[in-house]
Amino acid sequence: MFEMHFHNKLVTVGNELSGKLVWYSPDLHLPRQASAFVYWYTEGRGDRDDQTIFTIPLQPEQLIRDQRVDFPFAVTIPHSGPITYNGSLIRVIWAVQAWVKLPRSSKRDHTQTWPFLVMPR
Amino acid sequence: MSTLTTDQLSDGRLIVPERVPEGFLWVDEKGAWSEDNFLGSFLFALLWCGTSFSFFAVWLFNFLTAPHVGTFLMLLFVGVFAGAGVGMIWKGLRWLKIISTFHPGEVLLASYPLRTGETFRLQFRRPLRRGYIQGLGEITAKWLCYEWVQYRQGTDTETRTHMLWEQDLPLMTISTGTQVVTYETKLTVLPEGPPSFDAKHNQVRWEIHISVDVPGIPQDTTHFRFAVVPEAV
Repeated sequence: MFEMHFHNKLVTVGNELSGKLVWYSPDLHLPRQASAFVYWYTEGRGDRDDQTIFTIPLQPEQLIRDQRVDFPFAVTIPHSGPITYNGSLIRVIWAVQAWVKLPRSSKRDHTQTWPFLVMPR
Repeated sequence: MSTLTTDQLSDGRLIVPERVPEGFLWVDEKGAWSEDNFLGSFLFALLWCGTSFSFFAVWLFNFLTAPHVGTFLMLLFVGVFAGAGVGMIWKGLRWLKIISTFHPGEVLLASYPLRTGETFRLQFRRPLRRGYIQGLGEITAKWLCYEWVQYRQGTDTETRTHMLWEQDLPLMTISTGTQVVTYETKLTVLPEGPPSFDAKHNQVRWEIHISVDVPGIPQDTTHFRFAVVPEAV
């Protein structure tokens, strides 16, 4: 489905995360819907919080069978963070997530997630 | 590591300080008179106490006139509600005594937001509404950083905290005749400490808790929450 190529997998707040999302699928079932975004979310004891910081523009029509399609992206991580955090009750995780909804006949959605690290300045 | 009790928890709001010529000023709104808050709490307490005290009086009368296990158990049951009403009255009177004695507490910082590893001077003041302190009092303060989470369990909302770091600050004596309680201290944001995190259900909080204890007035603790940005000094 997708491959992710980060230019930098460790980013400090206020700096840019960039990379390339690459589509390739020999599958006959091409997605009806697709989206990809840069976001953070929490794990741990508390209810989940999350926030999308950037949406990578991609349309299902761009996802062609047997053909590699690149979606380069660059996003500035906010100065206020949050940073990647691994505490006792809370974990804050940054990631890029790509999601495709396949045709009804194939009966499945497909989600891929690639974490990266955000550090303080 | 310790956790905070409900009474020790701040209301958790990360308020934006007022910009003043000397720096950044926080005013503790909880210590201020608010007619809306007072009226809401007063009407709730009135309804609660009116109902629970009436039921308690009725079942006390029933028990005294015809004592048996059934009326005793009922008396115990309504007694729990009446006890909660007494607690409400006690808390309300305590709060009235504090806010009628003091103006809200204020904290002043020279620069803001804070950065990890930063050392800064904090000034606290809490003026009396009238008169002066009679007898010796004291101020104690704590500088702390903790994780706070909230989650749903069934129909209840549960809160948990985990202390990451806690520092008792030097105690200061309040002398007789004081009209404005003041406290000054130097604080450091732990260099290896986490920056603040402020989401709806998950937070990392940096706070100072300042307790003013003077004779004749219930001890009152003021909480101030500060933002620590992810940037080292």
